[in-house]
Amino acid sequence: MNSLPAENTPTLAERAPRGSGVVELASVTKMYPGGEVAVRELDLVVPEGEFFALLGPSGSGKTSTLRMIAGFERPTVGRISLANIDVTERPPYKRDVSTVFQNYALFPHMNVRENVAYPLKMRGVSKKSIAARVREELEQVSMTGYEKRLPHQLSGGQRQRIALARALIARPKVLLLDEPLGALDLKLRESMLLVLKRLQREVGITFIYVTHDQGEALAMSDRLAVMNKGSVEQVGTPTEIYERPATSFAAGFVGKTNLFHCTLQSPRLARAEAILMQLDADVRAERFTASIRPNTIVVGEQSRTLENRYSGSVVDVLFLGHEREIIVEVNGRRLNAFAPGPGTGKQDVIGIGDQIEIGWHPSAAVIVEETGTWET
Amino acid sequence: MGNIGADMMEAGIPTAADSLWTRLRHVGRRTAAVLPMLAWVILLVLIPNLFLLFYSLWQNNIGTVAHVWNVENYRTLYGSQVFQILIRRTFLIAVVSAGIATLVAYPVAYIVVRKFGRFKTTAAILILVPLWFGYLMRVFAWRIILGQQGVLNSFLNSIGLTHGPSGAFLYNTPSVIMTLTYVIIPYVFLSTYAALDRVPRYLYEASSDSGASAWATFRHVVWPLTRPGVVVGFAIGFALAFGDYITPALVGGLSGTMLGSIVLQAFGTADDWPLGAAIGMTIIATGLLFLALMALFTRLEAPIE
Repeated sequence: MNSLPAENTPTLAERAPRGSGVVELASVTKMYPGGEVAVRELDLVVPEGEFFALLGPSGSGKTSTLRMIAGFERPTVGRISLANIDVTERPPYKRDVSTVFQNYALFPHMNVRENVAYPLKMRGVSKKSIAARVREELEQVSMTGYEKRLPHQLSGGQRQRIALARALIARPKVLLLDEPLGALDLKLRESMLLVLKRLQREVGITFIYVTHDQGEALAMSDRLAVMNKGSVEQVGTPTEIYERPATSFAAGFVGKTNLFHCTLQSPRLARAEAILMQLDADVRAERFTASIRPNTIVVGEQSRTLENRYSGSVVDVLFLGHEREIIVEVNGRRLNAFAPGPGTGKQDVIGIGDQIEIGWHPSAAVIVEETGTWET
Repeated sequence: MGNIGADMMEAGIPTAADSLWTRLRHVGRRTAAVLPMLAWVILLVLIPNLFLLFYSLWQNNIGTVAHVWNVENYRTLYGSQVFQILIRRTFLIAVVSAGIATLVAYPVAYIVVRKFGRFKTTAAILILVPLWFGYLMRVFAWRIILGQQGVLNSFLNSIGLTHGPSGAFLYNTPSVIMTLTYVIIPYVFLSTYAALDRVPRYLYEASSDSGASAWATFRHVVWPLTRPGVVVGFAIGFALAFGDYITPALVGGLSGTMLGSIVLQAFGTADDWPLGAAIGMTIIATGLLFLALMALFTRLEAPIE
C-alpha cells in the first residue's frame, strides 16, 4: 500500500491493468434532466495508492465524475465500482470514500473536535478511541490546540485542514478532493499542496483530485486525466501528457503550446500556411495538427544548426523572471518561445521589433491529431 | 498604531480632532436614520399598549370609565374561579394547537425543501395559499365540515358508521384545537421552511459522506441548525392561538370558550373596558413571558455561511 513508485516513473500506468483499480468507472454517462450531458461514456481505472487528478475547464464534467464516485449523483448509464464491489446503487454513506468539499462543508454548529470526530461517531467507534484518533488526526494537519474552535472562527486554510482531517479520520479507501485549494490565496495554496502531497504519501490512500489548474495537476499527480466536454481526452503521467499530448485540446490545456494545422507535402515534410517544417515521424494522414512546445523552440544563433529554422520579428517580450517569453512573427504566424532571462549570460538583449532567428528539431513537433477536418 | 485615527476618519467615526459641530452632525445623521422606525414603534406599539395598561388600572362606572387608579380589576380577575379555568384552558389549547401544527408543518417543510427540487417554491406557495383567504372564512369552513349537517357527518352517515347527525364534533375544546391548528400551520410552515431552506445541500452531502444515514444526518446536523426556526414557528403559533377569539366564537361553544372570548364580551356586551383591558394585559404578559422562555431555545451556536 505504501509502495508508491517514485515520481515520474511512467510504469505506473502499466502496473494498473484493467480490473485492478480501487476505483473503476465503466462507460459512465451522466445526463441531467434538462438533457444536458455532463459526462459521456467515461472509462476510468484508478489503482490503489495513486494520486490521480481530473483536469479540465469548467463544464468538462470533472466535478460530476467526482460526485458520482462519491455517490451524490447517480450515473444515467454505466457502473461504478470501488475495490471490485459495484457501488452504483449505493448511497454515499455506504461507500468507503470521503470527500473534501470545495467550500469545506464543515458543520457550523460543531467545533473542530466534533467535526473531525463525526465520521467515527457515525461508525459507532467508542468514545475513547475517537478521542485518541482525533488527537492524531489534528496533529497530522498541524491543528492541535484548535479543538474548541467553531468553523467560523477559523481562517480558510485552517478550515481546509479540518476538512482534510475529517475526511481522512475514518481511513477511507479513496479520498475525493473537489478543487480543494480553489478558495485559498497563492501562498496558502503552495503550502497546502505540500501538505496534501505529504499526507497522501503517509496514509497511502488513493486520492482523486479535481482541478482546473494544470500547474496543480502536473505538480501533484502520479497520473491525470484531461477532460473536455464530458469526455476524457487523455490519461497519463504528467510527463507523458506534457511531452506527448494526444489531442490538440490536451496540448493546449496542459502547458503552453503552438498548434499548427498542417498539410503533408511529402513524407516528413509538412506545410502550415506559409511555414514549411520537417518531421521526424511518418505521418499517414494528409492533414493533421502538430504541437510544438515553446520550450522546444530554440531562439538566437544556436538555432542555425537545426533543420527547421526561420527568421521572424519580435512582437512582444514578457519577462517571467528566470526566463522570457517571446512572441515572434514568422511568415505571418505568431509563435511563442522561451529565451533565458537576462543575467544568465546566454542571451543578448531582445527588444520588440528586432529580427531574430528561431528554430526547432524535427522531433519537437508532436502530432496530436490526424483528422480530415480542423476545429478552428 | 499611528494611523488608527486616519482609519477612523475614513470609516466616518468621529475622533477627538473633529469639531463639536461635526460630531453633532454625525449623531444627527444616525438618529435621522432610525427615526421612522422609532416613530412606528412608539405610535403603533407603545402608545396603544400604554393606553391598554392605563385602562386596566382605571375603574368601570356603569359603562363609563372612571379615572381612578387602582388594581381592583386584576384582583377581581385573579380571584375568579372562571378566569382561572379559562386561562388554564386557553394556555392548554394554545400549546396543544401550536404543538400539533409544528409536528405537521416541520416534516412537510422538510419534504418540500428536500424532495421538491426546483418545484419547492411552488409547493411552498401552494401551502401558504390559505393565508390569502379571510381568517373568518377559514374558521367558518370548519363549521361546515364539523357541523351537524356538515361534511363529516354526512360522510360518516353514508358509510353507515353513525346514524343521524351527531353534534359531537362541534362546539367543544377539540374542535377549537383542530381549527386553531389548521389556522396556525401555514405560519409554522413559513418559519420552518425558511430555516430548512438555509441549510445548504453540501452539509447533507458532507454528513452522508461521513457515513451518516438520513436519520443520523437529521438528528446531528439538520435539527440543531433548524431548531431556532422551529421554536420561532411554535412561538408564533402559540401567540396567535392564545389571544384568539374568532375560533372559539365560531366553533367553540361553551366548553371551547377562551380568554379572547371574554375580552370581546368585556369590551362589547358587558361594556366593562377596564376589565377587558386587564384581561388583555394578562394575555400580552403571558404571551411575552412564553416567548421569552422560547427565546432560550432559539440560540444558534454559529452562523450558516
